[in-house]
Amino acid sequence: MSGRRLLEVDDLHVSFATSRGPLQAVQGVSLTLDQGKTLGIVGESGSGKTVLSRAIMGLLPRASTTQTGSVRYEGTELLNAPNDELRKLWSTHIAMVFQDPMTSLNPVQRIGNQITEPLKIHLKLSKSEAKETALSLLMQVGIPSPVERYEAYPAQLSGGMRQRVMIAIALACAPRLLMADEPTTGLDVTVQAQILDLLGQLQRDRDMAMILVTHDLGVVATRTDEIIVMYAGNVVERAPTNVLFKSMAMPYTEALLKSTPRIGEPSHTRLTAIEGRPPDLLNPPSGCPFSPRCPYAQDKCHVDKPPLVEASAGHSYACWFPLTANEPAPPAPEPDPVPA
Amino acid sequence: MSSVSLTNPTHEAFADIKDEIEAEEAADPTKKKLGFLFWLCIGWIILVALAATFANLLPLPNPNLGNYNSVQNAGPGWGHLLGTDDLYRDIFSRLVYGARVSIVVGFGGAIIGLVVGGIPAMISAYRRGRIDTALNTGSYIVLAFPAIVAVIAIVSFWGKSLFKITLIIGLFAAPLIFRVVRASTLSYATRDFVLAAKALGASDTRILSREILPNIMPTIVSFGLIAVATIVVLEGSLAFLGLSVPPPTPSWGNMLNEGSTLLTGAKGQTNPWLVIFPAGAMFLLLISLNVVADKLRAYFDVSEIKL
Amino acid sequence: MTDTTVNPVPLATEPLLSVEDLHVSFGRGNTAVQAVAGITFTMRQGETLGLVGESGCGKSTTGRAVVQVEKATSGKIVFGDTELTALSRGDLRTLRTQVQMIFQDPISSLNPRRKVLDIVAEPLTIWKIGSKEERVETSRAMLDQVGIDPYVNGSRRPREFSGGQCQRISIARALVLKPKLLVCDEIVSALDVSVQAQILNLLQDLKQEYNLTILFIAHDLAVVKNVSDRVAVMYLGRLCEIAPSDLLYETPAHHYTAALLASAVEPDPEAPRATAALTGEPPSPINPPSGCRFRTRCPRAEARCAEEVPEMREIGPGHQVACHFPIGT
Repeated sequence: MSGRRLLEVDDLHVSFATSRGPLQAVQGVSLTLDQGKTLGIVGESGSGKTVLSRAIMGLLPRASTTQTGSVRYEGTELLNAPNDELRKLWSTHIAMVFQDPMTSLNPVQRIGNQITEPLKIHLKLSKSEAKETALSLLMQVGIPSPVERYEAYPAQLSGGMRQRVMIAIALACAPRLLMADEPTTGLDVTVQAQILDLLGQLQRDRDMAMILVTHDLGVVATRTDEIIVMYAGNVVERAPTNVLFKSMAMPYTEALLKSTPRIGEPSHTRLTAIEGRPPDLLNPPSGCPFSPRCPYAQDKCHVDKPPLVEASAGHSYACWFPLTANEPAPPAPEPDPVPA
Repeated sequence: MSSVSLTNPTHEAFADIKDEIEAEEAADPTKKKLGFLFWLCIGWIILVALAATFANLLPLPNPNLGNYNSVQNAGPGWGHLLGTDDLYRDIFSRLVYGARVSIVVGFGGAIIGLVVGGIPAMISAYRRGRIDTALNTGSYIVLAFPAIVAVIAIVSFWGKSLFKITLIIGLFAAPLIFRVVRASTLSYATRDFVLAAKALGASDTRILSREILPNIMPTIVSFGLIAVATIVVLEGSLAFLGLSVPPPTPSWGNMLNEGSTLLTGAKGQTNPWLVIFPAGAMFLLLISLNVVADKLRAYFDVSEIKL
Repeated sequence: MTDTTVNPVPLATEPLLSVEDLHVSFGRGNTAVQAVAGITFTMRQGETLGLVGESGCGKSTTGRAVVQVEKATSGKIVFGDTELTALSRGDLRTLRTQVQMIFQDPISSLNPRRKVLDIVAEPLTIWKIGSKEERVETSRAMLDQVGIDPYVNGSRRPREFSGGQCQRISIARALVLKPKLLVCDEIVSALDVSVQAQILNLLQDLKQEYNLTILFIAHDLAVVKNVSDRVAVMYLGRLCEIAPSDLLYETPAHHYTAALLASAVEPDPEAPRATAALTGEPPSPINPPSGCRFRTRCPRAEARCAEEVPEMREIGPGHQVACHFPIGT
């Protein structure tokens, strides 16, 4: 049943206790996801996107982490729920595909075993049933000669193959929601395209919801319904994909796009780099987190933190002076010497 | 990092915030300190080493000749700080002179091991190739041989003197040190900054001394100190087998050996002090070495980048 | 965006670097891997040649062979007038000052135990250039030029810097000897997009200032196009195609180039969706296909492709391709 609300995240805050004080990794994030839809979460390192995805899954270590807010899957509260409760949902309802398959797969276990494990534990399949299902999964994810590969160890497979195995493991128990954390980073361009195609196709076949976490705007541009842009632990813009690229409101989103080299541009095009570095999450500056680097920043931006407001249908942003399609951009300022 | 990093102060502007930055760094709880215990232990090691070196200059009674005016097997008291043994010799003086053996064998053996094992390890791990394979296999073979049996055999045949014992122990420590230094060097030799130095035209000697050595030094120092501790104990064991420096030269191991007979009254007398003091001295030295080694390792174990 | 195009540096006519039939193999006997299996190209002073390909194609190995940190199994590398492959060890050392390299991992490229200023001054110290004070001055100036304040940060150690800053320090170190040729091996692959843009701009500025010739190795097609004058595409140890950047991306002649371009993702929802133009996995470099190595995945492969290795031939001004049936024929 497409369209059913699967996931609701409400004002999620995550902070880690470090020896130098609390580190605010995620500051007040809210999002929703319906069945069959794809949500893209885009941000650079330090933006909090990985922490967010782990917090939603419930994978963060309890001891040093403070999580407040609410994460509801089909009405069940996941945040700070005990592991027994979460285990009932992991793999069968929510599954995750991680970034680096070499470290996410057990290097000393055959991949066949790694796929059948969730089948035997969660679905209580017998050994032979599990093996059949696993072989069928391997075929679905496009691994040639699945019978041979069933006995292989991860090190014997290429990066792309390992990632396919990871996807097979994640999909083994037919979850409704798939969380893919940088699933193609580090893979070759051609393999990346194959994996993204595969994810898209599996999603359509199974009517799954998917969250795609990545730093690459290109990956989310054609494969998501909605995109959330994160910066320094905050959601700074949220919009349906087309709307985001056509009429982006947040200067950071624009800056991110402008600093990405494009194949369509002629060679030697000067990139508009964002000067400076992301803020220290231990001591977030007052005001808008992007204000020290924003080419449009004004006094108010450095003092008051802008709230996330919904402007038009589905398009929210956190900016006092958002870009609009009508306003011409001010001339790019003289790039300052890069701060140390 | 402090908020200063987001702006770009010129040299002059930096001058006024320099004090602030230094104060901030001093108050930083993550900045590593060696601690009081560390300095205490270093102090003890240095004290022992100094006492051993300058024993002749200290006003100590002769450690080898008994003073028949004293009481036999006296406990600690005036005149004899730690008492006397059954041959009327002063225990304190024997302890100080005995420290010489432990220090010389311990540090001497470790240094021999480092030179004979460590230097070839660095070079061969950096160069790789057939020599490295040969040395590596060789170290496995020597390590497989029970060192203590070999030491016993050699000392029995060759003779017992401080120099010979130090040399033999040092040579047998070499393969183990070889392996540790080789592993450490390998982990750095493959890194890009070594390749960069090569690409810059640095000679191999320069790369080994300026790029690799500073990085493996913490491991060497820590492991070296543990090696010293192990060798001191080894000397004690040899003494028990009568294979350490021959009496009347005092060594802590000898004192333990001789004193052990007086623990149970085998010679008709009991004097537990003969065992307590050398054992205590050895114990304190070993603990100090281990604490220093551990604290140094922790101090130098910097994570590669501050996140 | 076209109004911010930078004019390329005018190129000399004599080649600065000439690589002829380079082969680099690892291992022996049955498990020998031919990482580079016969590539030929030239570079003129002042140009940036992009070398692009996927993992295992041999582009990094090529870069290392040019800098002579990897030994060529056969073939010639001629730098200026000197044949690098025929030099003695001592002469080779002196030539190193003219060819420098920057690596992918910014953190492991710097000695964690040394101060940043010392790291940048190291090349000058090795070659005993200038007095101690002069070296410090030069290093400080170089650090300043790459955007690191030498007074605030000169005595810090690499672990106190971010990835982008470490890469700047590596660039400073490489340029302090004023080399003629700079080999950049995936220097921005490990960096965030915004930091990547900073480094690429920096590289462009420094290239102008020092009249550098750059061999830019990367797997990201957009980055390579942005930086390079000409681009060479490698597959499994061989060159497929070389052409001026704009021309290559607009009218690729080799089927592999076309597949790469079709797979690339663009941050534009209107762009034609990148489809997996290639199926399957690249073959093993230990046992490469006979003839054209790409034939097992090429949509246009015929019998001739298995029998005959395609030679590089010119099909347009500055455009060379190694294919029996290039696109458009």
